[in-house]
Amino acid sequence: MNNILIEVKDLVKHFPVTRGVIFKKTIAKIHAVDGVSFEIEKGKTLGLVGESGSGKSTIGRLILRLLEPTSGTIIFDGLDITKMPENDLKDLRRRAAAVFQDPYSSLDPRMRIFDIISEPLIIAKWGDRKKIADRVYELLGQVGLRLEEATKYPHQLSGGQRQRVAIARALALSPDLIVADEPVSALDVSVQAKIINLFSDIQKRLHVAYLFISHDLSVVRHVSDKIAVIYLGKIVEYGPVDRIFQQPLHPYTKSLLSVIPIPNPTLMKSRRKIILSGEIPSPINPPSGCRFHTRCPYAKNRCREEEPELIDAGHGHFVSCLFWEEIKEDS
Amino acid sequence: MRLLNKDNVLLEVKNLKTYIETSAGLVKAVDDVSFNIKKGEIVGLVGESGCGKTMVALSIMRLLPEPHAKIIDGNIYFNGLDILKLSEDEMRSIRGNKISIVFQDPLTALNPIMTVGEQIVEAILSHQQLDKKEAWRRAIQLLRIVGIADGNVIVNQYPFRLSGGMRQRVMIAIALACNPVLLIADEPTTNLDVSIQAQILELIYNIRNTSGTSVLLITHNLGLVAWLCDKVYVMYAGKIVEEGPCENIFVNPSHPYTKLLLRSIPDVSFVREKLETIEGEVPNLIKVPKGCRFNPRCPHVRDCCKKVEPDLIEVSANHYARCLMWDSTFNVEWR
Repeated sequence: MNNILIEVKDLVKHFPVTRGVIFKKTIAKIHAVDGVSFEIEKGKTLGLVGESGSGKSTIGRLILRLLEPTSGTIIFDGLDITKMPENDLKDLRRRAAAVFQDPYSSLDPRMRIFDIISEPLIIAKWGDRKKIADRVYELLGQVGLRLEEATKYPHQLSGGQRQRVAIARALALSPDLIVADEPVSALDVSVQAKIINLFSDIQKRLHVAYLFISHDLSVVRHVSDKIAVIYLGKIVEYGPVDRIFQQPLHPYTKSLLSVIPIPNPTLMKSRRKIILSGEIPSPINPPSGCRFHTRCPYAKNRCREEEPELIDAGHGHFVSCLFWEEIKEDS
Repeated sequence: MRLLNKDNVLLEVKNLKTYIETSAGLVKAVDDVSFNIKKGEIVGLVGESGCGKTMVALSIMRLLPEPHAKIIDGNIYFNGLDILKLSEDEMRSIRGNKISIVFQDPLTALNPIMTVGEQIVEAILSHQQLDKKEAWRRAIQLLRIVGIADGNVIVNQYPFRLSGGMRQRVMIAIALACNPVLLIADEPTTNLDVSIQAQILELIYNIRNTSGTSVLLITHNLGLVAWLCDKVYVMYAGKIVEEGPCENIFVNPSHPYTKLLLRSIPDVSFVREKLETIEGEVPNLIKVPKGCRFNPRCPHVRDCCKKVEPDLIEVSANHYARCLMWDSTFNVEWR
């Protein structure tokens, strides 16, 4: 039995940088995603972690075919959707949905909650009016909203409630995959916990797979089965969540894990923090060789010239570093 | 004027009440808040959005949007001097000089039509007797202190050219321009990436260690507090609900709100099956719940909590919690 829901191979997305209005000329390329491969199993979660500008949101959009990939393949449940014409994408639109970061701007302010949630059902000709109404109320229950909220407008709800509406809408057509792009980043701490729990509950009950995109490693650890750490459009480390958190192999992951704020002062004040210098370089002109070499505390001459591949470090744990074995114990 | 230099207290806020008038009613944003900061101490003020923590910062700086927001009552002693009694001119000589502030969003806090250098120089010249050349040299030096190596290039640039982390460094450079004795940092890293956040936090930590500057860190992130702070105040709905040394607050949280807050954040050092959540939402500060403000959301609520407003009770040395039931909730397994 094939358990893979989505398989991505060598996915590349370059955005052109143009100059001129009438005679548009491409003067450079933004290397947003540069050769990314991963899989998501049915009913499982892949966490995609990276800093701003790393290309993580672009990957989410490519998988939903909201953007055209430059090259590479995306196979959704055995079907190659990379070059599928828009007309044939209806099935994908039903089976893959999205939840975005900001529930203030992702919901139409002039639609009532009922209409927001029923819209995808109507478009998909899911059933008659009665059936759709029943489904909307069922969804409201599933995301923990009271039925009265159906008649309200988004501005009458709190941030957490709005995110619940966005989730209900995403669940409307019982998708196999939800791409959740920073779904809890805009929420307060105590609300964040509720939404994270909701994501876990829904997965247990409905067996939906998530591509969970976030910059927050603590959140990602909590929801994911596997994670991919991305830096400047490339995956630098990929594997089961526990392995990566117990023994990060890539210097970038090592550093990120060493500086996540943990609510434990003794640990925070005693642990060795690897603080990276500088900032994430421009994706227009990514550094040669290993893209991380400009900030890497272990960088050697070879890193400047040779581009590392994702190497199997055992137990499904992959790392893209030329010297991962040498620095393995150093953390 | 009053001298209050026992225990090296630099700032003492006493029974501060800051209310905001809105069309919907009077918002009691800060309601009888007292705390102090000693010299060289990093103090954390933690709370969720809408609990009044930024209003505390603006009250200290006397930057409240008057006449809507006003300090109704209380004292703020800075080095023994009640700054609420100062004239606007006298206050201006302290603001940005002895006490300075770093805001959350550097893009709105910086002037978009002045270069970085002009803004730092402006801060220097408004408080120090230096000639312009000297001030520019100092500006570049300040940029170096906050970790911008090519300061001589950056001084001539406008804020929009800089990344979020760089802008926040510029904000800190402006705040440090006159060697303040107190730095207020209001959510200084909320919009920044993890690796940049780490740089900024270490910078603040080092500023304290090298120049003995006291810091008031205002944040919703308990992880940052654990990283930097010596002392913590937890704020809920306009009141301090728990205060104490950093270690105590985390090892032995005594107010149910603090406990729940700690249990609701995902922690990379261990994974819970399910995150704890806090029922309900932060109350509207126009109509605060009677009795203990946390009672509608508290899992340990009793009848008395709905009637009596609790005082801060000493739980252990220097550690206080505003809870009537702390004795009985104390032993509930919390992790």
